[in-house]
Amino acid sequence: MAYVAVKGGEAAISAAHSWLAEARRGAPDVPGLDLAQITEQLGRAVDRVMAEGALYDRDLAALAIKQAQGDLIEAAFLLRAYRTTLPRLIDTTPVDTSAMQIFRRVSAIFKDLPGGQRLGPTTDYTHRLLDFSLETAAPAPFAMPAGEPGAIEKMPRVTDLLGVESLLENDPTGDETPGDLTMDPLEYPAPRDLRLQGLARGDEGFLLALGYSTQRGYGSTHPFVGELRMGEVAVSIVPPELGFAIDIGDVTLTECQMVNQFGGSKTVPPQFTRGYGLCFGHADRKAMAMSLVDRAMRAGELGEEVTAPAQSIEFVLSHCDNIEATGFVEHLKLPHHVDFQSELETIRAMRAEALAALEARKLKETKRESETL
Amino acid sequence: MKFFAPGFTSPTDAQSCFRGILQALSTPGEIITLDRPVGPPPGLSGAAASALLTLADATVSASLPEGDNDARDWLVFHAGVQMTAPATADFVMARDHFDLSQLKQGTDDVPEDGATLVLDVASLESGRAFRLTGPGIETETRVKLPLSATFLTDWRRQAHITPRGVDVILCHETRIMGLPRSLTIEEI
Amino acid sequence: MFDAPSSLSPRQIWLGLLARASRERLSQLLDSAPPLPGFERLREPECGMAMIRGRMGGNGAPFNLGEMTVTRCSVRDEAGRVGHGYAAGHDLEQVELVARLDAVLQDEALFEAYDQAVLQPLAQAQATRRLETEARAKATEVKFFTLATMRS
Repeated sequence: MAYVAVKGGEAAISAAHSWLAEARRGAPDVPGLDLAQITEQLGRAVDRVMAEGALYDRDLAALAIKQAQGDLIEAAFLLRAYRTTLPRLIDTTPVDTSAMQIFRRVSAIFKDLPGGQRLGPTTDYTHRLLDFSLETAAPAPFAMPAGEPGAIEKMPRVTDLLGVESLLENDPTGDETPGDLTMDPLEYPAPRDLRLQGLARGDEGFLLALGYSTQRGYGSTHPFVGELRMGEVAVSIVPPELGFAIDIGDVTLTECQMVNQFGGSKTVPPQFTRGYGLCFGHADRKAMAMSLVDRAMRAGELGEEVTAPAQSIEFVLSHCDNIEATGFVEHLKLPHHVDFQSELETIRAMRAEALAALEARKLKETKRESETL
Repeated sequence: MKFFAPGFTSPTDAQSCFRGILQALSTPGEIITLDRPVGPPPGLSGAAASALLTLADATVSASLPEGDNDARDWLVFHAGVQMTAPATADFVMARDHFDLSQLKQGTDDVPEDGATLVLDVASLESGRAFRLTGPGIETETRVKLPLSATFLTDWRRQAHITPRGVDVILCHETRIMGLPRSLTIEEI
Repeated sequence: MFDAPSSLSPRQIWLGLLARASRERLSQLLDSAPPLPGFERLREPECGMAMIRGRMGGNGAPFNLGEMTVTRCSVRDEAGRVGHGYAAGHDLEQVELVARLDAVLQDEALFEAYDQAVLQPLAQAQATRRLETEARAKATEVKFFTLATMRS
């Protein structure tokens, strides 16, 4: 494929950038966007951009969203590009989601859980009617319940609870250094650690559709949400110069444990198998979709027939990174003038040949007809 | 970790040292002065410390002489480098001499995997006389270096396993001389 | 770690508190503390990334989840004390303050003053914020009751 070195676009590009800046700002008499407005009031967009940009930093994500005029894939692209300018200093100790400060925690498989079910600041029970009061009115402040605030409750994972354990497969334990797809090119079939890393930064729409496809019969798994939890976890590192663990801050994460019926195979008895989703921010949909696709991609290792797109590790991981995807899709806009010229010539030649052959056949038939007459 | 001392104070200092190393390996036999060397930890010359700090980072491994604990603390603190044994290290620092055959040689497919030896020597201008020829040298360069006969033997042996082998950066105070593996060294 | 079990050393606790404090807050609190001593930078404040790790299924083998911004800085103050700071985010001035405080807090004679002026207020504010969040979360806890109960 030939790319042409195109000259003469400088003035046009300069004007384009100028217009872009003006369009981004919008009408000058409308107040400009404050980054704090974005981090505070568009938190779900910030979460998505951090996840798909693969960099947890709320302020930088907000800046990317403002710069991208709200185009979230473009914003993720900006954040991902910025990421390449930063050195990797250290790896954290694995986060302990059982020590999470729980904002939200629900289970679809058990009603009564130690710690109970907390809805958190969810949209699940809203009626999805446009709320026109949001145009102007400020909401009433949260009605704090009476009494002293109690101690912060930690909640064990539903999947760790005894009742489920004997019928639920255990995830492989260990402390081996995980693979890192940002350091080494992905090879297929990829092991689970790399699959989860890929899914965590995967496009939410793509994963949602794949997850949905598994429910519609493309590799069905009869899933149940064992647990969905969202909240803050402490992030800890062990710097070599200190030699002991220190917290560097907290991150908000959403974790989904999907529990799936499994009829068993030659080697494994019938039991519940697991799908796992973990992602940045408050993102039920992403965590749930991730857990459905995680389980689907385990089809091969569980001895199930691999028939559906969501079960194909290569299909899922090659296409879930929206920055990679848009890079190739949008590159089609680049000049392919020379390439197309040769296409044009080829089509013309083929067409001429085809027409000539048609003419020749017609002539032959006419001749035969006149001979028989 | 017990020993703490500053490293490069500005990225342009590191860039200046990188440029110097690039120059040294591109024009072997020439003595290159590092203009903005880093203040070295105990036991290392400014040149050796600068070379190590410029080239090493968290994605590579390094080896220092046994017992050089301060230098090790310093290098790990600033570069985040993995410390390993000489046989598996990407960058090896030594004084006066090291057996090249004990170091990583790279492979035919990945020759750059061969180790880089950062060698602190007594001088870059005295010792036995050598004629240097090869890529980067127009005709020949004559030098006097305190290199041993064993080093010469190792070096000649290296020529037979091209492109595999070890590259050497000789260091003295704040000056360096590059000996890339493509160089031919003959005693005169 | 914020509920600070006794297994943590004071230094681990104060580094966690400081990492979570904004530059504005730290500067504000330092106004009521003795001035911090002069210092040299052992390692310039820099911004990089920490790769956050999770565990498969929550408690299984580790995997790389994604990176976060982290800053770090190391200083040696006039008295020769070495301080290190690490903090989430990209505020270079904040992490330098963390490192300088880390140095001075290691001095038994000076600890009290900085503990009163900086650490206690931070611990209080961070704990209060968490309790307020917990109160909100707890208010959204579902109180199930069965229909049988309703009928009687």
